[in-house]
Amino acid sequence: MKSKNAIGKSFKEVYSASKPLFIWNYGLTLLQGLLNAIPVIALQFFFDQITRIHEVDTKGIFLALGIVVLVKTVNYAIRAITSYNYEYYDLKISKDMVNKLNAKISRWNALRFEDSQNLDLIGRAYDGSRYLRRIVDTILLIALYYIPEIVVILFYLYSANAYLPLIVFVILATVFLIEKIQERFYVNIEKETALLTRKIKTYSGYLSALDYYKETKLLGLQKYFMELLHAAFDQRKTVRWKFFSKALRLDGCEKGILLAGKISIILILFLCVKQQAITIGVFAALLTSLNDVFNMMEGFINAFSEGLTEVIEKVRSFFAIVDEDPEDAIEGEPLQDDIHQIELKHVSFSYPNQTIEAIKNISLTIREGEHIAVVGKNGSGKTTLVKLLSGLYTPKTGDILYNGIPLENNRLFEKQSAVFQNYGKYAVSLEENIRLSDTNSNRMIDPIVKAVDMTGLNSQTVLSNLFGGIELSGGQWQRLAIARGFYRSCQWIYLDEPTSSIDPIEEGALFKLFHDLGKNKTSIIVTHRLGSIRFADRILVMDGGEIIGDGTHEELMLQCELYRNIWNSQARLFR
Amino acid sequence: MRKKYPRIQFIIKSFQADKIGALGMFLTKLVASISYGLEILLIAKLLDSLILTFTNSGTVDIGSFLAIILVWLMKSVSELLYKASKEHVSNSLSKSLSLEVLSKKQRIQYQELEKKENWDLMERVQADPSPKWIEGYQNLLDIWEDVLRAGWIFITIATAQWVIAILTLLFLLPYGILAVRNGQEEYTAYEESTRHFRIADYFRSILSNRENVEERILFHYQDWGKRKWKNEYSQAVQIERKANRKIFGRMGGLDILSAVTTGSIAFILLWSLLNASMTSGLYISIIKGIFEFVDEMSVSLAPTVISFEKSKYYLRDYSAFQSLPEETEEGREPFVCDQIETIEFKDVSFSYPSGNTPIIDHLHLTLYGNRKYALVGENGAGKTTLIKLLTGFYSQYEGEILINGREVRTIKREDLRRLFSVVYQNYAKYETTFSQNLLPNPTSDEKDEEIQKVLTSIGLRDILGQLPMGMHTPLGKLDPEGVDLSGGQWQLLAIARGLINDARIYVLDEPTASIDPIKEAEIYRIFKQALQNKFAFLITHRLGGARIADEIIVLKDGKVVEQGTHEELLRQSGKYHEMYQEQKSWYEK
Repeated sequence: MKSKNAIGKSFKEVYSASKPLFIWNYGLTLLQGLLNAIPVIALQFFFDQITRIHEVDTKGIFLALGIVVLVKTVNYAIRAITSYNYEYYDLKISKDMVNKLNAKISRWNALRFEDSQNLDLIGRAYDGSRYLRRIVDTILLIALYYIPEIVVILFYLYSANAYLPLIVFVILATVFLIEKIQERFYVNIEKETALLTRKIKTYSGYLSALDYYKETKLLGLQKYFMELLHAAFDQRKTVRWKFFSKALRLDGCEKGILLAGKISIILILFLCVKQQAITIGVFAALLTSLNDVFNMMEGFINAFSEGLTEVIEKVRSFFAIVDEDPEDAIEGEPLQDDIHQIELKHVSFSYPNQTIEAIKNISLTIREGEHIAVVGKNGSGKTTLVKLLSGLYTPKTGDILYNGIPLENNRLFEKQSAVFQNYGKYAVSLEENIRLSDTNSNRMIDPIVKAVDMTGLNSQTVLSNLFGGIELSGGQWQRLAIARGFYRSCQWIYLDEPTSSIDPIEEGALFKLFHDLGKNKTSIIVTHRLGSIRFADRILVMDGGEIIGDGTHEELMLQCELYRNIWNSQARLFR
Repeated sequence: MRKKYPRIQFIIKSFQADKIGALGMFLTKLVASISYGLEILLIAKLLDSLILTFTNSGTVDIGSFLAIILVWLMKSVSELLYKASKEHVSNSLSKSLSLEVLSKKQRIQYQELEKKENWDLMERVQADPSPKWIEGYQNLLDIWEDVLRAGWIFITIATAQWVIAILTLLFLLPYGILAVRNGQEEYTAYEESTRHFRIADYFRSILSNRENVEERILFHYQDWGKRKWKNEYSQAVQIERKANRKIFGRMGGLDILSAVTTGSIAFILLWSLLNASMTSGLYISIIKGIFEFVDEMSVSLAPTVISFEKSKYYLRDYSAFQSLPEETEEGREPFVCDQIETIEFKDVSFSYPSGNTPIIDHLHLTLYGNRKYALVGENGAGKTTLIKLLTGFYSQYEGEILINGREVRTIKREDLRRLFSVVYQNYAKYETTFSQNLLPNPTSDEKDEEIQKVLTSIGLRDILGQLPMGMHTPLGKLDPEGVDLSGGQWQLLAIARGLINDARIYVLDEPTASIDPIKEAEIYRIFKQALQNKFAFLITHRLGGARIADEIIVLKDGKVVEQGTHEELLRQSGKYHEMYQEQKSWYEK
């Protein structure tokens, strides 16, 4: 039932993407199909004349040949037009479908992207968006293009002997069945070799990936992994061949059945000629068209067995996203109100598919104008806390109140900004890299570029070496991310510590930069380096998803053991 | 040394990898094209005999009827065998070429390997190039088959009338040439649009990936992204549309030409038929044969030519890849070293071929045995490069680097490698057994006691105790029975590997960059303990950690600016003092 749905919906989408193109395109296909049937008839007539060349008027021969050539000429002309249209129509539909997906996915909340199943779904859906057309095309091509020619040939076969079409159908059915069985073998090949393929990929990575190359070489492990690779390749070869030879046997059966069918059809036709039930011209035309018929049949079966089932699966993922109306989607435009206070009440949070709570029962109030540092070990929940505060994640239990009111429909506040741990390194110009934090703003970027000391770069140069632009150093990208964060007009701003290593001098400078720019705002810095706390007037200490310390440095040194430990372990190095 | 790979390599490599399979592909294609020719002749004979029976002057030629069936059988069998041969060759090529590429990568000079353009090149060459090669071989076979089939048509007509046969060939020739040119043009047009599609795909991924989700939602830049995506996509479509108009226009023209050509051949041959130099059966058979051939060609010729063109670019890349300069053992002699006495850098300069500013700039440095040195300095000061020079990854430097008085470029690579044990910031996580990770090169005289001591001090003993097969437990997810370690555990394993490794020079390259502060202090303590009486480098920019070293070397812009003990350097009030004070100030509140 579901597959029917996908087919029906694909038709609807393809049709509504452009009605004129749909009608024009498939109208031409039908015309082609009809025209295709004519040469079969004309050829038969032509061959009939040829076999009696010395009895008939040569005019008829020329006429028949003329018709064949003319029809073929027209047909080729139409094919050129349809091929051209096909490409264009295809691109247009892909564009519309990707647009639909983009629109849907842009409403997804941030948490959905933490679930790898959702990421897989996105990948399959984008892939599937290219295949809606394929489904429609496969079905319509068979119905419009092939059927007329096949009907004519079947009619000829029927007129020779009533059993012949039956034989064709029997062969068709058997071959279809064999294909279905064979499909399983090929799926099995992939399954059985998946592990070996992964091994090959992994070992190759050890030998050649840039982050492994030096170490593998210095440890002298090349020979060892080369040997493992040899073995894995050989093993994969054996496994592949085992399944392939099984599939090949079925292939043999299929070819045998097709051959037997072809031979029996020819035999019957041959007898028909001898009994003068058909003319030699018909016999010749059918004899020479049998290849076409069987090729078409194989095309049929392929389209239906592997092509269509596979494709429908992909298209289903597309519709899974497009048709979904999720409750947790972000609705409406961001709120324009000023934020005076954010309050967490018994908030707990865990990531999808994980039992451990990343945030455990936190209650916390942050007021306008505070400068806060959140410290703690790796994995203590610091980053998650920021994502909850900024509204990217919604709590599993408990409430977050903005100015005393909970947010509805996962809406966000316009007046917040952040420099995230994995900020984007966008392959666009410096100016666009900054402006994308506030795409509706017309403010100049010059002051902020100056503030982060990046005036040396032309603001129109495309950055990142992805498409041949200028690549920045880690520190420069970080500065750019800060510029982006502060370009957005905001009252609240978050800074999550960078993951990539930048040296301490640079790090100190960045913290200072962030502090200076954020002086008149509410700022929250997350870090496990304590260099930042100089700028904070309130420090939160996190451990295991809980806040175990809240106060000034002096207060925490007295009250919070973990804080004291972290502090001392670093401070000791400088004593 | 420039290596060249002409297209004939597709054939040579296929035969080298799998003689039987490659020969099978060749022979089955040959059989298929012979069948095609035989079928034309046999059908002609059968039809002629049938026509004669109707005029009651002959008997049905059962022999040719059976022969047709035999030819069909031959065709089916050769198709099957072709498929089997191709699979066999693919499998063999996959192995031989993947390994060929990998072993080349092992030999390439490291500084070449680091270049972005060479990475792009290797990406294009691919880790498993076999699909490209099998496609190349198949492509050549296809062209050969087409030529053979055209030849059959020519010969068959020539048996009746050779003048017309030559005329037919003349008709087919321009068609072939034009089709080839079209294929080439199509290839270049798609090259151009592909770039825009790639950029469009990039924006599409920004709109839907995980990496950018936070900024995307908070900054609400979806509309901007959609606009960018649409812009690139439309440009690509425009280019394709423009090219397609030309290509499909010409293709349509070609197809019409082919219809007219075959029609003209049919008309000309009619005269042979009328003056009885050709039988009706042969005429029908040839006409059908030509129609079939031209129909097939009009569909398959363009892709074949495109594939042929593409293979040229691929081989160009492959040649460039194989021509990348390799490391050599030239001028390198064995080197025995029981103890490091001195390491000297004498006026060493090094810069990347692409960059004009030197990374290492006339550097002088002398180090003495069994001490621990800390290399400090800002990012880009040259710390990591200095170690890469010493460990032999770069050899195109000016000046001299001497270990115990011996220039490193004269030391046999294997002997040089054995001198070092390095713990990298991006340490390797080998998904093999625990023991393979810990002791990559096991020898019989491993001191078990020492290993246990390191494992205990680093806290790996407990982890090892929990593994089901002890030291022989496979790690990671590659083995179904494997046990995956946490990030921190992997790092401890990498550190233990570095410390247990029996080397003369130990290098710790920023080993604590992503470790939290408490753990960091602990690891510095372990280092200090494990590396007693050993020669070691510690690269760090956390100056608190640098203090475990006996001596500190401060690098700036590729030069040594300060060298001495912690106390000495503090007294000098130079760069080190400045950096130290800056970091210290974080803890003075």
